[in-house]
This record gives sequence, structure tokens and C-alpha cells, in this order.
Amino acid sequence: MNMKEEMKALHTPPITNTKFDLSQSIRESYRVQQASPTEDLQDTGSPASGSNVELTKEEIVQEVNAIEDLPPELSKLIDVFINDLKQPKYVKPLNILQLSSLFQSFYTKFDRSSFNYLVNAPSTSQPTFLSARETLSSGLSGIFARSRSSSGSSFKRDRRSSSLLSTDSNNVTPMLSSEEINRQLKMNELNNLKVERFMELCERDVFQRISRVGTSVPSPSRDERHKRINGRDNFRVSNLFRNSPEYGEYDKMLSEKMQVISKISSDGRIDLVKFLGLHENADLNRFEEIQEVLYDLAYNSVAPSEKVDLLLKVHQSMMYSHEMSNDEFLSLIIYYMVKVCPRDIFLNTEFIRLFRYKKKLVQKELFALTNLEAALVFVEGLTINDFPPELQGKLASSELKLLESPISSKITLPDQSKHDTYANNHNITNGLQEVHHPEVMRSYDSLRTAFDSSLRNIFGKIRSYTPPATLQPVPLPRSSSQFSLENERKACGTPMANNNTMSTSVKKFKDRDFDELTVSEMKEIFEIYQKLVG
Amino acid sequence: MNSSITSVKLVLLGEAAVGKSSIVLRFVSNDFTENKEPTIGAAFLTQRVNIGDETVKFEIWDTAGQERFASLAPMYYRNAQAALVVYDVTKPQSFIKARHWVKELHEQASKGIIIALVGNKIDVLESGEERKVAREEAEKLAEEENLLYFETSAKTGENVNEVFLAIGEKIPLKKAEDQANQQHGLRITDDQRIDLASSTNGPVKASGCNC
Repeated sequence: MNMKEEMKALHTPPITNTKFDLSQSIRESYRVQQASPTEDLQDTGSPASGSNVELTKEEIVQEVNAIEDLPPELSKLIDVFINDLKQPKYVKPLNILQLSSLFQSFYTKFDRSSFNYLVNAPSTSQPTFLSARETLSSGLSGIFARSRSSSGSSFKRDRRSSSLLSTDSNNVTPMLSSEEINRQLKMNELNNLKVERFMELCERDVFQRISRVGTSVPSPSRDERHKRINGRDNFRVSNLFRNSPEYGEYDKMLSEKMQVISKISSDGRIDLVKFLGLHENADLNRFEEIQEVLYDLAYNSVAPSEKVDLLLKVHQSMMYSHEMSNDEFLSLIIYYMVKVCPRDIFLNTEFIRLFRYKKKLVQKELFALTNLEAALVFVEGLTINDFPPELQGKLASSELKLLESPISSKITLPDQSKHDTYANNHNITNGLQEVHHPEVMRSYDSLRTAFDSSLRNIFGKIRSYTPPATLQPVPLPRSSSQFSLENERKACGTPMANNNTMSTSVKKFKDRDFDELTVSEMKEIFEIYQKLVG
Repeated sequence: MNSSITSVKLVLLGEAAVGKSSIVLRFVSNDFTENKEPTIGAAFLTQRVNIGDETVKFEIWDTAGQERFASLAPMYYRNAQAALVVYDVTKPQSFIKARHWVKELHEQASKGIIIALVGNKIDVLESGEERKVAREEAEKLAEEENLLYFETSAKTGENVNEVFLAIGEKIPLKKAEDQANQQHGLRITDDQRIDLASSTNGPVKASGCNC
């Protein structure tokens, strides 16, 4: 698939939901950035840079880390994606889970595009490698061919770099010497590291660009305008959650609760260290350092990958021994959350969960995020009954009210697992994998939804239409479709007013399932639809 | 040559101070690989084990054992393929708690999760301390609940590797992979995607750890 086709594939289907707040929609148009000439000259990991294959592992890592910007070809994909998000089809704003789903889908496509970019682009500097690659026709190039030909089929993405070791290539590999295989392995390793780097830059760039155009602030206050001097201040995680107000409400209540606990701890009404059972060796002297990292996480970072790195840094900063168990880590995180009370911390946590590329949010990253989430869940669930009884008499009524019940008993957040389109659209059967690609399914579902609603409208019109008995028809300018409809009526010899006849032609589809419709039938329905709306 | 690497999420459950993290530290500390993956103390560790032609990479998640954090445990054992429920053979209360964990895992964790019941600190019995949880009692629970059962000493290392090897052998590796795919979408982990190193891994060590 060439870059143009990939760009097309990046367009996302419209989502229909009537619950959205129109006033919150993204209104500014996004201007695609023109790649400056200097960008083209930057070394951004040129495709298959052959000289790299002789580098050591450390040098490869160093080289990959030196990539600071995306190649223009890939950078454009981000522009296309953002531009697409701002199309009028999204005039009904997406809720946070739908937005997350679109981002995850984009990441998957970007990942594949990055890989294709690295391996498919012509390289003149590596004739030996290229010839070796050609001999692996049913191995690597087989995969490439699949990649190129299967637009929107990332679900079949084979393991990168594994083809050399796969059975696919058994009948053609004898042409390769061990030296060539080693070079190929190194090249694969380099490409994979580059793809990972591109993905990091993608996450960074996509949110930085969103921060430049804003999300949906129709009339910023003076203070907010003032803040916009700094581009980073322009992006607030909370803006993304505007169309899912329950998240904002939850965050607000959690912040209030944390502040109350922080206050009663700082004025000595409870001993937080004792209350949380912090380990006696716990080093609390790094408070300022950890506070700064938490502030960076909440306010001074944009990309989910940046935020997750900072979260890992929080864990590292808290570590006073390499043998620390989670008994100690969790208590400490809760301690710092309450003491620091970073603004929007819950929204930041959800932001990482929803907008970090799911493939990368695994292992250590996922553990650290789970720890933070667990800490917040612990705090939201705290009530007056969890504290020593003597505290009750020392609390003001407003404080008591905040510690009355868990926040989760007041606000229910949507179950994210139900919105996991990947999981929902994956049917893996025994042995035989019958996988429906999520993108295909999503597009198909959207089409079906759109079509179904159109059909409903058609049938609705027919059912509700009652010909005016007494009113005289008012001559109106006629559209071509009206003429066409009239002509058809004449041809059929049936008056338009005859509702029954019209519905008869449509009724034959009434009990049909969308999946069973043929193309010609769909065309027929579409024609009827056009006539009706015309 | 190992054909593939499968990641297995393993969660540690048990009362505070029964030696959960000591067990994993012992398991991991036998490993002297140069390129050790960075961890989060003993709270998150990884360790690879070769089992036959397969390499299992354990992602070990520790949970806070304090009672006040018990309600948070589901966040940690979500999508886990294996669990170690640890108790202290000299503390009957810790065994009661272990029973609760086993029950909860069966009710709330992933279907087919492999659970190993581990009675730790058997070294203290040799130094004269009294055993408070009979081996027979634990074996009975293991049999009733279809658990793996081991008595270990994190201090001496006795039976520690065996626990993880037994889990690794019991996990249907391909299924674990499929399950992960189902739960996380098309998650292709680093290992599944580009584990070139696996082709150069040395033979299996006597301990079974691919260190």
C-alpha cells in the first residue's frame, strides 16, 4: 500500500450518537503543516540505511534515540488524522472512549505505516542487502506483499523479523549465507527499534499538534488566553474529557477528597504515615523531587508516553531499596498523592490508560499505571469509618461530608472493557483463527448504522405520511429529483399520494437483514432514499 | 532454538510479611544475565524460563498484602494467567487469608488461571520454630481447589524454582498467547515480535532458568 492509500485508510468513519454536546465540538480548522525544507534534510531514520547494519547493539540504540523528528512522510499521516478528526462528520463530539478508540486505531495504522516506510522505500546504498532480501521472496517479501496489499488489515500483521526463522522461508533460504542472515537480523532489529522510536514521536507529535489547534474551547477566558502564550499550556488533559463530564466530576470530587485528607494530615489531626502503615525505612526526604515529577506528569507533559515515563520516574524516585515490595510502593504512592494533590491526576491517569498506544502499555508501564490507579481508588473509597474514631469530632461538617461515602458510589464511570473494540471484534476460534479486523468491522458497523438509520427514516416517513385531504397543493420550485420521481409515478401510473403503493415497493425490504442484501438491492434502496429525501 | 516466547502474567497474593517478594527475589536472583530488564524494586520483575522448546517469560506482579489494600487486588490480578498464593507455615492466620484468596481468584480472576499455593518459611522449622499449618491441611485445600502446592524457603531457595517451573509447565502456552490477544486486542509483545535473542539463547540451565 503506498503512502497515499495509507492516508486514505487513516480516515475514520463517522460515529453517530445523539448524546453529544454540539457546543463542545472542535471548531477550529486544522491546517496541515507544510514540511519545511530543513525537515527533509534531517536524519530521521532514512529507510533501510544500509550502513547501519554493521553497528553494534549499543550503537544502534544510540542511533535510534538520536532520531528526534518523524520523517515528513509519516508526519503527514498525523496531519491527516487530526484533519480527519476535525471534519464536520464529527460535529457531534466524540466521547472519550470513542476518541480513544480512534487514536488506538490510528496508532496501529501508524505502526504499520512506519514499518512499511522503513522496509519498502528504495535504498541505493544497500545493494547486497536488497538482493538478499529478494531471495527471501516467500519470507520477508511475502510479508511485505501482504502488508502492501492489505489495506486496513493490521490484524494479520505478522511478527516482524520473524520470517527468517519461520517455516515460510524454508524452501528459499539456501541462497542466504550466514553472514547475510546476520545482517538481515541486525537490519530487522534496527528497523524495529526505529519503528518504536517513530511510535514515541507519533504520540508526542499528535498531542503537540492538537495542543496547537486546541481541542474545543469556544470562548476562552482572559486567563486562559494568557496561558496560551506557552504552547504546552494550551493542552489540558481535561479538555479531552469535556464530552464525558462524569470523568471531570469524578476528578473534581477526588481532588477535593485528597485535599481534605491532606489538610487533616498537615494540621496533625491524623498521622498519615501511621495511617498508611509506611515502612519504617521509607525515605520521605525526597518529597520535593517527587512533587516536581508529579507536577511534570500532571501539568508539564503532553504525550501519554511522556506521562508514563514520568510515572516510572516517580516509582524510581520512591525506591529506597531494590528489594522494595508493593506493600511499600503502594503505601508511598498514596502518601505522595495525598500530600502533593496534583491537579487532574485522575484525568491524567485515564488519559494514559486510554491514549497510550495499547501495544506499548504493557509490563512495567502497565504495572506502574495500575499502582497509580489503585492508589486513587483507595483514596476515593476512603470514608470517615476508615479513620480512627476520634477524628470524627475534629472534622468540620464540610470535611465530614466529603468523607461521607466513596466517590464511586456517587459517580459511575463507563466500563472501558465494553468499549474495547479490539476485544469485541476479535473472534478467535479453536485452532482456526477467524479474525475480523477491527477497522473493517468498525467501518462496516458504521456503514450499517448509517444505512440502518437512513432506512428507519425512510420507513418512518412512509408510515407517518398522511396525505393532506383538504389542503391545496402549493406550487413549489421543483428539483430534478422531484421531476424524476414524478416521471416514475407517471410511468407506473400510481399517484404519489398513494402511500400504500410507495411503501409496497419499499416494504419488501422490511424484514430483510442488512447482511443479506445484495449490491443491487442496496442500490435500489439508495435510489428510493434519494427520491424520498429529494 | 526456542520457537517462541510467551509472556505469562503472574500475580503474587498473600498476607503482608509472608515472604512474597522474597520468593520472587530468590527466583530472579539466580539470574546473572548482563542485560537485565529494569524492574520496579521487587514489586515488578520479569524472568525467563525455558520449558522444552518454549521460553516462558514471567511478568511477576506483586500486590500489597495489607488488609486495607485487599479490595484493590482485582486491579492487579486482572488478565493474570497464574497466581502464587503465599502463606507462612508458622502463621495460621496467613493460611486462612490464603484460602480467601484462592476462593476469590476462582470467582473473579481469568478462567483457567493456574494457582500455586505456597507455604513459605520452612527453614524456620529447622531452627526449632513450631509449624502452625499442617502440610496435610494445605495439601487437602490444594486437592479440593485444583492448586499446585509447594512448601518453600525463600531464605535457602528450597523449592522456589520448582514452583515457577511447575506453573510454566501447566500453562497451555499457545492458549495463554491467544488469551492475551483476546484480552488486549492484537497485542503483539516485544517478545512475540522481535525476540531475535531467543535464537541465540544458550541451552537450558539445570535450574530451568534461562538466565
